[in-house]
This record gives sequence, structure tokens and C-alpha cells, in this order.
Amino acid sequence: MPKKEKISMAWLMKYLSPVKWRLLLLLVLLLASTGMQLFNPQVVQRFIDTAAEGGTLERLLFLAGLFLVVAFSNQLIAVAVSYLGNDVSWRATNRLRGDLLLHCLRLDMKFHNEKTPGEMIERIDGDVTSVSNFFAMFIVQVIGSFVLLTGILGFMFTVNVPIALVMTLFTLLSILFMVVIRNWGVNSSKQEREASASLFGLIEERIAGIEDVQGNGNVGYVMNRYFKLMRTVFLKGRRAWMMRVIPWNTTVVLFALAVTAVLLLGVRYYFAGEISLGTLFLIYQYTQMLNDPIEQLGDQVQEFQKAKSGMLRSRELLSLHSDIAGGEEDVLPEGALELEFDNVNFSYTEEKPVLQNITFRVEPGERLGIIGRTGSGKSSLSRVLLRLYNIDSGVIRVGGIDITSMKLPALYRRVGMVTQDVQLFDGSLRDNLTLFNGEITDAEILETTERLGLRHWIDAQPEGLDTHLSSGGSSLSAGEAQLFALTRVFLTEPSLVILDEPSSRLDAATESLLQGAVDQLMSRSTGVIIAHRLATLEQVDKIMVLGNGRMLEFGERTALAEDPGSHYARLLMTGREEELA
Amino acid sequence: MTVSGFIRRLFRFTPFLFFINGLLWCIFHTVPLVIGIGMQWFFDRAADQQADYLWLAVPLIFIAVARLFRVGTFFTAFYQWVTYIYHIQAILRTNMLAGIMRWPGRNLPASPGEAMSRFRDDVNEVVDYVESWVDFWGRLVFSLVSIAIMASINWKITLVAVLPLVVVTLLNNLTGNRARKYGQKNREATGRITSFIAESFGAVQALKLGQSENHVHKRFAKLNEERRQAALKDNLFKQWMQSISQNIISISTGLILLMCAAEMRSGAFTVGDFALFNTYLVNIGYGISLFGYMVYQHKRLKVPYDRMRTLFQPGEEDRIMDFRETYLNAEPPELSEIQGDPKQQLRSLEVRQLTYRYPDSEHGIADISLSLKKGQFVVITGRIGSGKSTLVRTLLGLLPKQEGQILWNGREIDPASFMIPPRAAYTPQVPRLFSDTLRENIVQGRSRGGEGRLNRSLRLAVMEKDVSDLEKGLETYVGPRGVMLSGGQIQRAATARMLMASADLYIFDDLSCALDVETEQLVWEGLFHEQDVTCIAVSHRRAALTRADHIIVMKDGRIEAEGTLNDLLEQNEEMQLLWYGDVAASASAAKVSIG
Repeated sequence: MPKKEKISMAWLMKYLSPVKWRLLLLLVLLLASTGMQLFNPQVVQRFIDTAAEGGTLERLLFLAGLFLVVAFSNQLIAVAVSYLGNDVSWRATNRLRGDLLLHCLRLDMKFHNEKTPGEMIERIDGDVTSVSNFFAMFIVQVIGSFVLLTGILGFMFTVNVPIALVMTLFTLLSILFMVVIRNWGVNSSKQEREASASLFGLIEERIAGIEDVQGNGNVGYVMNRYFKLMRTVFLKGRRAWMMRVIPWNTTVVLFALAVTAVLLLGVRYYFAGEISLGTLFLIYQYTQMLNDPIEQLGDQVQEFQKAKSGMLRSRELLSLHSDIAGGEEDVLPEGALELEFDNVNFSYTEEKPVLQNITFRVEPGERLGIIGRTGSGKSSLSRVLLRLYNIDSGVIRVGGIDITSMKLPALYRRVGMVTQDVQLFDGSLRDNLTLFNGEITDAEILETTERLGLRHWIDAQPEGLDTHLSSGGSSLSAGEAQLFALTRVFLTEPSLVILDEPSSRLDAATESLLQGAVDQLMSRSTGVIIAHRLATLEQVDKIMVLGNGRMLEFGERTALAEDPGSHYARLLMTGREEELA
Repeated sequence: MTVSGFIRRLFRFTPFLFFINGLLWCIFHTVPLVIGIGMQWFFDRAADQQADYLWLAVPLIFIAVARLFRVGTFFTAFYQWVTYIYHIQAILRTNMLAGIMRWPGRNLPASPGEAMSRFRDDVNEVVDYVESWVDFWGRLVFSLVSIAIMASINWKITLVAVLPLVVVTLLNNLTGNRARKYGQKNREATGRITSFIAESFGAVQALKLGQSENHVHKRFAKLNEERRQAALKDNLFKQWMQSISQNIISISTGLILLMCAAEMRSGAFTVGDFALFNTYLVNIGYGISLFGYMVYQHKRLKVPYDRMRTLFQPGEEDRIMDFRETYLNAEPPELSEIQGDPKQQLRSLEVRQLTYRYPDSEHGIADISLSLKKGQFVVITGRIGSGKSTLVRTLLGLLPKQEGQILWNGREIDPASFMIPPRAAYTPQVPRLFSDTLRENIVQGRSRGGEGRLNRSLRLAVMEKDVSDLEKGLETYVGPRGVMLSGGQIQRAATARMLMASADLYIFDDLSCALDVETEQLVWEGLFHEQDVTCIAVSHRRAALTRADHIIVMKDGRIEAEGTLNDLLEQNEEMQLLWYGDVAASASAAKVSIG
């Protein structure tokens, strides 16, 4: 257990070290403010004693003025502390947010297949925000509080030793208590965060899919689901808040007892004539002051509980590792790449094989067409080729090199894919096409779109490449979206291209328009085309027919077409029959 | 509705919670009055040298009891407050979600991720404001009573204590616009962040394939940096305002001390009085600080208020504070399905001069008229961007029609509220499934008809084999957007979902796009085996076109031609292009097979 704590501190330091100077300055300011807080009651004590002894008005004026100056400076410092603390926390947590985002993006698809975007908002932004106060203020406040406590107790020892001893005892008791219960609320806070993440997950997902919800009259159902989750958030949240408030409450009870004890003692010494009325008042003021750092510590314990739950969740995320590990190889042969599957087996879950004993080879520059019914494993084949998933056994080679021995960026630099579902996001057209890569110039984009016959569409947009696309590309038709997906891939000039049903949403007229551009761009690369429509495959060299994850057939297209017993020939027949019907 | 009107309505929504919170926190904040009197009592007795020990212990014990009572009150009050927080969150979020769901789905005012920041941060700002109101009553009572008590000791204090209140309030009032500006910027920056996260993870596969993780990270860092600056400015301003209030209060405290000095020397002002003043002034300080802050908050509340209101359709923004059940204290009731009124069963559907143009664009549809009868199959075809999907969306109310009428059995209807089950159901071009089990995705709470109804939908959608192939069958978790299924499976699951809704009219926006020829044929065959099925389908596939009773050819947002397939193929060039473009490709493939 203590070892685990250490790890979490080391982890914390990683985010605090870039801001250490600011933190130090923060601490200095806080100490200055502590000093002033200790000093001001002394002024008041002098004031009372001076007044009681009938001191001069000048002296009283001086003391009151001093009090004002100190209070005023203290306020300035408070603003500076708040500003600096905020700054530190934003800087540190933004780093954490960035790390989380990058880490999650790099996790494999198995992770992404289970997480909704709304949930990710909570994990990357929400959880981290709950840590933010902790980052900035925890260390500083805890140190500050301890200094203030020591200062107050130190002063008390100069005033009256027994009273100081009682106060010290009470302080230690409070601290001990907080150390004991610091982890009490962590679990319930974690559950609170989880509930809130699923609530936002639901809301985001349903808003993103609002057409599906409305078009089928399922608004009522969605509201019902939302009510259930909101109720969970309420019940978990209330529990977490109540758990977190216990430390604060307990310190207040202890404090009430301590103040009473100290003053009762003080009265005795006052009767014995050992202390003046002003000193009695000073003792009263210091016990009051003791309340602040102790309450502060209680608050920080509350923050600690919140933060720890957020940190645990963040670290949980950071400790996930992608199953897809990159290798060492960096260089692929120049030009179009050959592709080879050697006895490849793959399944998403252990029980159900998706691809079985796939073995084939495509020469550089050749085009392979893959056909098969929905669910036959076509899309899975492209996904394992791009290492979105690891295969169970066998080898996939690109350009003669086992893809598991390749560095991932090296592989992706040369292999491109147009996916079945086009993923467009809320942002400018440019960002959607370049995926935030600032190195691709507008000229390059326009040149590629020109070739794809999309240029006129961009020119027709009111703001050209700065035109804003809304989430999911909902301002585009599905066909247009697919054209953009093509542009996106071709901008990277790949040497092996996988087109997953590239024309599925295009009408015949547009498709033939596009065909020329695709031909031209694929002239420099090896191509794998996955299609349902036979028409798309008339230009390919080789055909593979997949069925239930097995290769039913693989060979030269012309040869297969001539063989009346082949699946391909039979499919050609059904295709024609359908058209003739 | 103004911000004040909104807040008043919010208080009236759960009057009990508002009252009980006000009352409990009032007790909590006013207990220091008693403590102050106790302290005065104690020090006055202490100053009187004749008193004995027990005589002095009584006020101290009295104070201790008051403090403990305060802790107990706090615990109860806190419980009520947390309950109140969630009630506020629930009503606002419920209304916002319901409000969004009333939008024409295609035209949402914010990206889903950006909307999240409104559901989270803007709602929380309202909670913060209400928190101030809950504290307000106690602080007010304390201030009034303590000022009265102090004034009875020395009337000059009243003046000096009230003075800073006026100054602080005025000051906060004057700076309201700046407060609003900084708040707005901060919120917008946050909205960009939540939107960016959601969008990135929504398109994660594309980003991974494009190797843009680092580019995304860089952009994210930039957005984070912008938010840091916006948040710092916002917070600095807030702190600065609070600090000014504090300083004004400190100065007045100092002044009071000075005024007391003269009195103390003359002996008219005791140490006990001083202790009482000391306790009270600190608390009045908190009160004044709060009052000033509330002025600031109230001014600023316009920012989250307006941001939440934009999620509502123009004209119904005030529904942000609709009173409705939020089901926090009991499970929501089971859904009851709307029963179809037999009189409303589809006999005919007529569309007249339907027009919708996208803002700032030439795209859209214009002057579309069509009609269909029960049992008919109408196919809408045309090339990319010709307005096919826009037409069905406008017909369904997913886009707000700008002109024209839609008549159901001859009576004009509002598509958004009418064209839903049991009248019409719809499968979008790119359907979205939700991260649930396959069963939940298809059934969507429609429990009537049981397994039989579900099995029929699965059979008609040609989904039975897929279900039996899936390891966990209908209980398979499909992942966000249904990523665990193949494209064809998603399409058919969405079709099953539509059929599950048992509507008079089914609208398919390009059912074929992820299905192979054989599967698509099976779908159409199965569907036309059923009695009384009426369909509108967007398609450019022959499987659909050959079965159509009526075909509508779209071009550039208008109806280019309509009629039966044979007539159109003879007379219409666009139709020929669409039909033979396809054939030419297949024919050459066929030629190869023969040659």
C-alpha cells in the first residue's frame, strides 16, 4: 500500500515539475500571507491593552492604521495567490489532458469500441478538472496550513505553556483523524464520476444520433434512459458529497471542544493574575485562527478525495496499453508495395473465428478485388492489414516485411484506407481533409480535389477550405462524404491503398466520374478494393471471394470469370439476372 | 423570459427544497449571533474582577453548545443542499435534452460535444448562483440583526457597517458587462474543448489511419492553452472584484476600531463589546462580500442562460424552465407505446410544393410535389447531391420545410410531430446504433408484442442468421455507433429497428448502400410479402427500381421526371444515365465473363 502511494506522488511530480518555480512563488506568497495573518492579532492585542490602559490617541491611530495596511496587503496577496494557483493548475492539468488524449488515441480499437465520445469528454476533461484544484493548491495549502499552525502554536508557547499544550494536543488529534479518514470518500467519489461519465455518454451519443432517435419515435425511450441515469448520478453524487463532508464536520466539533477547554484554562490563569485581559483576548483570537488552517486541511482532505478518484480514473486510463505494439523496421521498399497473407487467422472474440487460413499474394502495382456477402470478413481483413487489430496466427507482409515488425507510423505512411463509415468531424473543411496536419498546403489539397473532380464543389462553398463542416458531416450528403474520404487518403499518397466499398453510396453517374480519378491515383500503388458491386471490380487483376471468413476462391479475374464453376462467375450471373429482372 | 424571471421560476419549481434550504442555512448562518453574545457575556464577566470561576464557565459552555448545534444544522442543511443541487441539474438537463429532441434533427444548433459543455458547465453555474441565494437569507438576517445589536451599543456603527454594502453593490453592478464578457469567453473556450474531444473520438479510426494522433494532440494543446488564458482572465476578474469588496470591508472594520478607540478610553465601550463587534464584523463582512458577489453572478448568469437557451428552437426558449417530473426520487414509469388511431391509418399521402434550402447555399430542394396511396412503393432516385435525402428529411420534419404542405389522408400535418410511429418510421442513409446490446438497439423500449414482434422484424430485415452467428446473439454489445458490427449488419439492425416500430409508412434512405445484391433482394422480397406495406425508398439500385410502383427522378433539387420505370427509361435522359451508367459497367464485366 505505501508503495502505491509513492508511485502516485512520483506520477504527480511529473506534472508539477514544469511548474515548480511558479509553485515555489506560490508558496512564498502564501507564507507571506500567513505571516500577516499571525501578525494582525498582535496589533489588535496592543490596541486593546493600549485602550484599556488609556494610551494616547496617536498610538491608537497608528495601530489601527497598521491593521489596515496589513489587511490591505493581505488582500493583494490573496488575489495573486489565486491567480498563480489557477495558472499552475491549468498548466499542469492541461498537460495531463493532452497526455490522456494522446494516450487514448493511441490505444487500439478494442478500447474505442467500448467508449462513447461523451464518456471520453468526462474522462479527459471532467475527471481532470476534479484534480485541478488539488494540483495547484493541495501541496501549497497543506504546507501553508502547517506553517500557520506551527506559527500559532509557537506564539502560544511564549504566552502560556499549558494552554499551548492543550492546543497542540487538539491540533495533532485533528490531523491524525484526517490522515485516518482521508481515503473514506474516494470510492464513492469514483462511483460518482463513473455515473456522471455514463450520463454524458448517453446524452452525447443520442444527440449525435438524433435522426435515428426522432425518425423512429424513440424520444420517449431516450428520455426514460436519461431519467434512470440522472437518478443514478443523484444517488451516487449525494452519497459522495456526504462522505466528503465528514472530515470538515469532525474538525469543527473537535474545534468547538478545544476552544472551550482553552478558554476555561485561560480564565484560571487570568484569575491567578498570570495573564492580562488583552492576553485572554489574544488567546481567544488565536484559537479562532487555529480554526482556519484546520478547516483548510479538512477542505483539502475533501479535495483530496475528489482528486484521488479523478486521478485513479486517469491513471487507470494511462495504464491501459495498446495490444498493438510497433516493431523496429522503419523502411519499406520504394514504389508500389506487394502484399502477402500467410495462413492468417483472426477473431474479435475467442469463440468466433472471423478469418480462417487466409493465404494469398498480390504483386506490386496489382489490384485485388475482394467480394463476399456482408459479414463474410471483408472489412475485418482490411482492419487486420492496417493493424487496427492483431491477428491470432499467421503472418501479413507488406513489401516483404512482416507488419508486426514495422513501426506503426512507417506502416501508415505508406498504406492508406478509405473506410466503410466515413468519419467527418465538426471543424473546417481543411482540418477534415488534412486531419490537422499543418504540413499539407492548400495548393496540394486543391490539386488532389481537382483530380478527384471535387474542386468545383469546394469552389462553390462560401468560404472554400475554411467552410465549417458540422459534426458527423451532417451538412454533406453521404456520397459527398465518401468523396472526401477518398481525398483524405489520396492526400497522403500511399503505396498500398485499401478501398472499403468505395462506391457504396455513389450513384452510377457520379461513380463513373470518380473512376478515372481513382484509376489515376492508384496507378502508383497496389490496390485492394472491397466491394459488393461487381461493376466496381471490372478493372482489378485478381479476385478473392470470401465466405464465412474463409477464402472460397482466389485467382486472376479473367481466369475466374471464364470458369463457369467459380463463385465469381456465378455472382456475375446473379448480378446480371438482377438487372434483367 | 429574463434572467430574473428564469430564476424566480427555478425557485418555484421545487419550493419545498428552496424553503428548507433557505431555512436550514439561515439557522446555520445566524448561530454566530448567539456565539457573539456569548463572547460579550464572557468578556464582560471576565472584566468584572469579582466574578468566580463557574460564573465565567457558563457562557463558555453556552458557546460550545451553540457551536455543536451549528455542526448538526450544517450536516442536515448540507444533505438538503446536495439534494437541491441535483434537482436543479435534473430539471435543466431534462428540459435541454427534451428541447434538443424537438429540433429538426438535421439542424442542431451545436455539435454534440459542444452541447455537453452546456449540459455540464452552464448548468453548474446556475447551481452556483442558487447556492448564493440559499446562503443569502441567513447572511441577510445575520447582518440585519447584528447591525441592530451593534447600533444599540453604538449607533455610529450602523452607518459605517452599511456604507461598504452600498459601495460594493454599486461597484459590482458597474462591472457587470466585463464580468459577462470574460464569462462568455471562458465558456466558449470550454465548449471548443469538449467538442474537440467528442469529435476526435467519434472519428478515431480515421485519425488513427491517418496517423494524425500527434497533430490532434497539438491542436488540443492549443485549445487548452486558449482555455487556460480565458479561464485565468475570468477568474482573476472575479477574484479582483471579491478582493475589492474585502478591502472595503477591512477599511470599514478599521474605521470602526478607530471609532471604538475613543469610546473605550472613556470606558463606555467594554472589552466584551469589542469581542462582540469583532465576531459580528467578520460575519457581516462575509455577508457583504456575498451580496456583492451575487450582483456579479446575476449579471454573469446571462451567459450560461443564453447558452442553454440556444439549445431550444426559436420561440420556445422559455421552455428551459418547463415544470416536469424528473424522476430523481422514483424510477421512471415503463414506456407505454402510442396506440395508432384507426381513423388516422394511412390512406394517402400528398406533398405539395415542398421547399427547403440550406442556409447560405444553393443546395436544397424546391417545389416538390408527389403523392402516394396505401400499399404503394415509391422510389426516389437521382445522382449525388440531387436532393434525395433532403427530400425525405424534410418530409419527416428532420429539416424544417420552408414552403409547401404535407397532407396525410387529405389533412395537413406538422411532419416533425406527426411523421413518427405509428404513422411513419425511418432508416437514415448512415444509420447510427448506440452503445447498448443489439436487442436494446432494435427494441428501444417497445415491449408490446414480445419476442414475436422482434422476431418478425429480424426476419424481414434478413438479420436472423447474423443474430444466430453472433456469439451472444441479441445480447451482443454493439459499441458506439455499432462499431462491433459490420456495415451491412448495422444497416439491417437499423432496418429491424424501423420495422419494430410498426408504422403505416416506412421510409428507407438508401437501404442498399451497405448491402450486397442478394441480401437486398431478400429484404425487398420479404417486405412485399407482408400485407399493406407502404414504402418510400431512396435508391439507385435496380433491385428497388424494378419493384417501384412509381419513380421520382431528382435533379438539382427538383423533380426532373416521374412515372413508371419503362416510361422513364424511354423518355428521360437523366434516368437513362442513371440506369445505363450502371449497366454499361456490368455489361462490360459480363462481356469479360463470356469472352
